[in-house]
Amino acid sequence: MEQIFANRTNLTGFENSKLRTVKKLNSKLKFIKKENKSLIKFKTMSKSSSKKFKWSLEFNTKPKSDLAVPPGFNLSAAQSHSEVARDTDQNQLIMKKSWDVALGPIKGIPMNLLIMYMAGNSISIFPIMMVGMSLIRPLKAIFTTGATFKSFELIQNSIIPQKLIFFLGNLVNIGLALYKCHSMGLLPTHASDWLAFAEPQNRLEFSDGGLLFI
Amino acid sequence: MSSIKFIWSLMASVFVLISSISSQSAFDSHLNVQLYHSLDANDVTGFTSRGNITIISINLGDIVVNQKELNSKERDVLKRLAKDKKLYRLKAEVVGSDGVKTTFLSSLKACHLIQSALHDFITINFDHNNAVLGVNIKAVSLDETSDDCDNLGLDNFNEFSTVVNLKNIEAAPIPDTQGFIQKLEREKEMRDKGEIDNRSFIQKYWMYIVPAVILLLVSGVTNTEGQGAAR
Amino acid sequence: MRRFKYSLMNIVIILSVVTSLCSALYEDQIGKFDWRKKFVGTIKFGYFDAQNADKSIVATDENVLAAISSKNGDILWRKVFETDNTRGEIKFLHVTREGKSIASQSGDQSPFDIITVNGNNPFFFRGYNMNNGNLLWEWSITATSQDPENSLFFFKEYSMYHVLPIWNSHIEVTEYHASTGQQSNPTTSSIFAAYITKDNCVLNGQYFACIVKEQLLVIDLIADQNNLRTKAIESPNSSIKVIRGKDNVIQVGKSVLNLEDLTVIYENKNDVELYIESDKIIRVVQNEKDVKILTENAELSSIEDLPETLDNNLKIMATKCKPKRDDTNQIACRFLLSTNDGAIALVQQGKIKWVREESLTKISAVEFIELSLSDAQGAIEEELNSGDEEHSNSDILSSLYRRLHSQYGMIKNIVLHLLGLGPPPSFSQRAGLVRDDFGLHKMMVIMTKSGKLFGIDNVSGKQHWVRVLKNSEGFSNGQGIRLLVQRTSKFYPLPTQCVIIAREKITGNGIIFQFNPLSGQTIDKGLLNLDYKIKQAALLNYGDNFLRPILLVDTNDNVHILPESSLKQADGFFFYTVNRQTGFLNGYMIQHENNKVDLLPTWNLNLGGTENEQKITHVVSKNSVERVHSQGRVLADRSVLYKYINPNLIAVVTEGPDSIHKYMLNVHLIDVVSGSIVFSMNHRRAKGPVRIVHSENWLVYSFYNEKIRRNEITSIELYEGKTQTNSTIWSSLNAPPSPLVERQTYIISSSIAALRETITEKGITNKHVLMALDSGAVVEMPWMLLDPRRNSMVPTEYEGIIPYIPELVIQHENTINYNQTIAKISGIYTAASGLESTCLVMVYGLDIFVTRVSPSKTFDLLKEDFDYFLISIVLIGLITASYVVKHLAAKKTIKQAWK
Repeated sequence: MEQIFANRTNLTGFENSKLRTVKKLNSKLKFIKKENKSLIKFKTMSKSSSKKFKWSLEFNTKPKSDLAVPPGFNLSAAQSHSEVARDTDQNQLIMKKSWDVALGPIKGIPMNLLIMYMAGNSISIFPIMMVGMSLIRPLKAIFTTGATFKSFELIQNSIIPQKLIFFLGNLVNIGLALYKCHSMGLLPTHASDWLAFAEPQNRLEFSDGGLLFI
Repeated sequence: MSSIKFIWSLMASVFVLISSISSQSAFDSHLNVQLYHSLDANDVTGFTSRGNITIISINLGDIVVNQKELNSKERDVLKRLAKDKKLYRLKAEVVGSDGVKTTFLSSLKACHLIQSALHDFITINFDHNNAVLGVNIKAVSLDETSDDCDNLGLDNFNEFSTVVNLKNIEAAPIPDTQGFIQKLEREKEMRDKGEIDNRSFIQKYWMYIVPAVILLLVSGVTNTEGQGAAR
Repeated sequence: MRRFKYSLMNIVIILSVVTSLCSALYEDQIGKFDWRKKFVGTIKFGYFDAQNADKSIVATDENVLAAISSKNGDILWRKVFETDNTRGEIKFLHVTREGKSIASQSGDQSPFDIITVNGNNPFFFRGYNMNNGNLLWEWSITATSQDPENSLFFFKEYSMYHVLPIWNSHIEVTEYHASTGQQSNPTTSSIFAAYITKDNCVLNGQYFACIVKEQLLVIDLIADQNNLRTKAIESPNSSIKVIRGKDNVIQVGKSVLNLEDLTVIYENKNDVELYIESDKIIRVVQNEKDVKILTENAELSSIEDLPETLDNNLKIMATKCKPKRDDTNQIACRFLLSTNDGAIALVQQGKIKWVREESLTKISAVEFIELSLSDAQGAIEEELNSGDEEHSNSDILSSLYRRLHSQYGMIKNIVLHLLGLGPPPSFSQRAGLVRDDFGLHKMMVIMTKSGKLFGIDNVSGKQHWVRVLKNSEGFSNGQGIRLLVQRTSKFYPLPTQCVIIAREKITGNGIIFQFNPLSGQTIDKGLLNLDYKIKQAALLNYGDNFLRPILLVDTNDNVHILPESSLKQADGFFFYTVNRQTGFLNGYMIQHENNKVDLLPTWNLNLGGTENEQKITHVVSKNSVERVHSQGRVLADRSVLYKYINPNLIAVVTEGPDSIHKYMLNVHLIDVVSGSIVFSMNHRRAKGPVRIVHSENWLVYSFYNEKIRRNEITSIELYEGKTQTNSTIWSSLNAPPSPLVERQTYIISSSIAALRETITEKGITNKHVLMALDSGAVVEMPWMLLDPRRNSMVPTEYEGIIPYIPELVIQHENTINYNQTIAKISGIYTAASGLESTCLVMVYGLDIFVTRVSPSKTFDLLKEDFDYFLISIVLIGLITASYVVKHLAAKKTIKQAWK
């Protein structure tokens, strides 16, 4: 673990110097950001006091560092320490939050069940709207899973389990909505629903005749 | 082999079905049905004997079926008939208790007869006086989908296994005025009585109360949670 | 509580069904898409109005008394008597000739000028006013002597005489006071005359004339003494007949005699039709093309080039002559003529003033034929068709070429048309007989029993063409002349083709007449006299050039196929015949071998019963053009009950006496390919008249219940079950399982004159059953009400079944002919239109009524009062508003950006 941290601090130093050199080359900033996304984020968090921005670069830190560093004080070491502490704190929070988000759909199931029960099986505008919403919402949620969990992606831990739970929860919701559709008779699951498409039988034999003419 | 030709074999499997219990005619009668079949497509009028059906009692459905075995020659002719997609025709001479003879003709695809392994159904229809309306032969081919008459194995089957079905004319419905009047009376009675609901308030409206209570509970829980969070 | 709710729901369902099924017209829709033509029938007696002959009074074989305007042939008034001849038949008609009404002797009665006698014991005597047809008096007598149906009548000076000849015995004469029915003499006078025989005697006025060997015996029925006179005639056993026009003139052999003095007034050498008008003999000379009406020496009126549409076998029913104004001692006459084919014509000064086609009261067959495409549509069709033919090389370039070519042709046509140089438009184009957008405009081809063929427009009722098939008549066993459609109008540019199958009057041989139903022109040889008698005819399903070949079986069981090139198509066709008398049904298969076809008997049935007491009265197959859209019925649990739709199924009704139940009525459903009786049912103590409809998977028929003396209607529905044995192919030979049968009987308050189901293009629209009542109304009965599943066993709430009520209530709002009563309905014909929702209906009997019905409302058509103006205004308004608003919004955002 420590080795990783050390590596990281080294890198930081190196990057710092590098950043200074590209201060005027704003155009290249994007490139760097892309390259070392996590690094920049990490840095900004340590520096900025405001939580408003996800990240920002402060280039006017130089005047502050004009003062000589007291002896024995290794700026980078102190920094790295505090950062590690905060990081774990934040991670835990983020983890908790991400689990909250992931469990959201499952928690909503009882409520959904209640609403569905209340809505009844009659086919009128409100139950239809309700069923439609309860079908579309989880579907939408599944398709936007990535976006929902984007803010949690910065933590080093994998968030695949959360995503999976979220996905499953939504699936359950879809299942519920489908069941509701079924009980309302909206699903084409019976033979009668396909009757209109049944073609008439082709006759093999032809016949004609009638009463005698004589 | 040729001697077998003349041996009349009592069919082992004779099923008798009476489609409707006959209350139509008070009098019962017996019938004798001689069966002849035409196996040769080139000889339209030539019919050879196939067997006979004796109906001892129409009302009870007491039937005895005697049928000949097919000899190898007849089998070949029948096979050819099936291959040519021709009709197998059955002539039935019905002699009633009054001695009057009526001849009925019926036919089916020879191919179906072979596919069903000579397992056929003969339906005899009667009218309200137990007069025979018609004699009809049917065979349900085992392989419904294919109409392939080229690959047939007839060698294993040389005797007909026949199900005789006696079908009586059915009585037509009459307007159910009695039932309707009774129904109206029942409804009127019901209305006059004006059903008194003895159930308690909760028994009657539980389906509305329970969800309301649950809603209250749920909202209460969320409220306390919210308060806790605020603290 | 629940019970109550249930019954309440029933009421709600019934109410909603009833109201939703109302298809009554709005007042302003009257006559918009329906028309009615009134007829009177073929003339039996006719007279001109005595004063100025501006109307004629006719009594017809349809039991109708009517006054027809001489100006235009319109019916001024009409009295329709009972259809039943024992009560309705008009036996006698007297119209006053003195020019003034017959004042009754007692003086308190209003003057009457028409007397009729109806019926066959009892006889109804009625007096009418000529101007308005009001009934002034009525009385009846019942003769007690034997054979009262031989009764004859005459009128003389305020008295009606009832003459009842008892053949080979005597004549009974009773005198009644005309307006009251009181006997003038208390006893019936009896004149002894043992020599009278049925074929040799006539009554004309007060004279009863008989030929006995070589003598003519004339009895004056009024004279008290010396009432018998004789006159020798030259040739024995000559025929005797009445000459119309005067009360005392008859023709014996070739001599025309006046019975008053027994003088020969004319020798009818040419055997022409004669008429007496005020002591003048009027002769009708018929040639091939023209008809001349002459007095003894001078020509009165000649009808040159008699139209082909009239049979030249004319009879003068009435004349009215007056001297010409120019004092040349000549007379000008007006003739009321009746032709052999049932038409009535009025001739004045050698011109046919009007013709009434009264044969339309006896319709034998009807078909609605779709009109052909207009020239422009045809060009498009041709372009598309040619694309189909050259399927392989239909690349873009060639189709573009075709497109340009056809458009060039169209432009050329327009230019030529404007210059007046173009080809003349075809007959149908000129007559406006082109297919409309919705296929509602059709040609009604009507074949009448008299052998006259009509092409009538179903929208306007105009007769586009008329043809007379001389010497043709219907077949025996009540089988009328057949009209079959061989090729419909769908196969442009091939012409539409119909065929008439009839019997030659004299020889009894078959007649085939092939024609184009749109123009009435003959196709090929036209009228074809066959050299054999037709036993039964059928239409095959496929043939070359989309022409359905006709299959004829002659009395020797030989098969004839027309055209003969289609012999092959007949192979494997199943054919059946029904013998009405013996009750035998025979099934055959047509075999094609060595370029000839023959019949292979495949099955037979005997529906006649033990002693052949059951007679087959109806054989009903399904409409061959019918399409069934829905293959099943959805049940309450959302499963499907599949319909048993057997195209080879026919319904056979037998009626007969029964030793125990008096009457027995059997209904059999028979598969005519396999010959199996699918279902049979019997009604005890029930008898006809049976009216029956067979369609899709159901059968509806009405009959008379003798036991309870009421009319009942039974419906039967056939279902395969919850699964279909074979969803793609129907083969009757592959032993389809026997169906489940639902059945129900309802009481119906009115007796039914005709039944027919509605039919639509694709069969998506609900089926209704059209019921013609004896009262002359045609009621649309929704199938829902006839549903045999309407019984207490089936849960009604979910399936949409109306709860069972034993009586079928006739909803008078569903009367499709509102107040246009149709007299003596004999049949209903229905045809699909181009619109799925709409079915064309023709009701015929004494009158013809044509309308359209939409059983499921016009779901595919905008309402007539649809507000096009409002909707276009709203649309335009919305579009402009959205553009304006868009512009404003853009302006605003720019403004805000500048802030």
